[in-house]
Amino acid sequence: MDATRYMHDTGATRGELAMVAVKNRRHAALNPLAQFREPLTLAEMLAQRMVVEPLGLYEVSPRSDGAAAILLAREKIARALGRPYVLVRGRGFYHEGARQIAEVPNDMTAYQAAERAAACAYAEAGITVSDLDFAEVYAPCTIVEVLVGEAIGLTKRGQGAQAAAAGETTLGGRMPICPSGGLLSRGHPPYVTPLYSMVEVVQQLRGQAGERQVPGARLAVVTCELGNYNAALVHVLEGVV
Amino acid sequence: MKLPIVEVGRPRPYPPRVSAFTKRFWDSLADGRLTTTLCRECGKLTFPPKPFCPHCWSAEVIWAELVGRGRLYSQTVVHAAPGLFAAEAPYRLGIVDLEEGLRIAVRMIGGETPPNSTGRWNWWPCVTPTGRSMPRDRSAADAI
Repeated sequence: MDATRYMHDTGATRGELAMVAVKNRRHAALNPLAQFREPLTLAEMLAQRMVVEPLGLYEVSPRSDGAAAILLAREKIARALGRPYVLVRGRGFYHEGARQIAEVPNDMTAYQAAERAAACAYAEAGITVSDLDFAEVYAPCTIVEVLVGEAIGLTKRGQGAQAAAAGETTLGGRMPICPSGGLLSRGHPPYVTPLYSMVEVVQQLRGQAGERQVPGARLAVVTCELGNYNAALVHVLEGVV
Repeated sequence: MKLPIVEVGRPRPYPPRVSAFTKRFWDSLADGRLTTTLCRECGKLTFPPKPFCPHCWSAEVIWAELVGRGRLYSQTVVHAAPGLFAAEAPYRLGIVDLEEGLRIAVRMIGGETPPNSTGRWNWWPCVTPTGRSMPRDRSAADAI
């Protein structure tokens, strides 16, 4: 219903939204860990059966299984290993106090918790969004990637779908989003996903992401959420190589 | 104000959980009245009805009747439904902003044509063969 409202308010088309999934599939083709690696054209994406209008089969997350681990240490210890590592530069969390649909009408396409958590993380990191090299966001549907991308400033408000369709969020574009292939194509193992996204960011920032490497990536933002982004946790990470 | 009651002609796959507190809501609905709780301390309504006010935490709540009109905020059609509702798929869901300033999620029945999402809507409770009533908005064809 976020998608319906977004299309109503902004004039975005279903094809533009679906381009988020086409883009993520293209990224996943370069990720040996991804669940779906076969590229799909926009026409093929739009030809899939409906799951919940206006989203088709590959515009929502698959069922996935998986595991992920990261090792946390003081920087002194990480540095002593003499290998590339990643610093937590900033962190923000915000819960708006509602679950899914707030009983007091609000703008459901403005992910307020993500916006506030990101502002906090950027401030703590002492950066602005233009300093970021890429983003790995928690987005179980195309529309969620568009809305969280707008909320945390990666794209302009009301223009996230357009930006995806124009290639701005593709690897090689102005602000790559979900180089892993995202929840849609890399996969969405429940509860593991936020950590899984961290693994992608760490690999990118250490320059170990192979064919899908964002060239020279040094700063990244990574998000996860509760409900329908009623709560958001946002980290800014920096690679030290 | 009593609202017309529409028979939907099928059992509910997920019957309401009637508690000592919510019984009054369901009984009123079966009588064509959509009600909820109103805080006597801060004057705010809440939905679904609660024995306390989520805005100021007061337990001084009373029952209030809603007029049964609202504006559709968004909608969708579910094709891949959870097991319990699979037999009814595809079905339409909506989010409605009631005139009293409450937002609620609803099942929409009767309308084959997607309604104008900015249109004003009336509310009619629907009654299932099990005798339980449920809040549903009226069909697209009946939108005012």
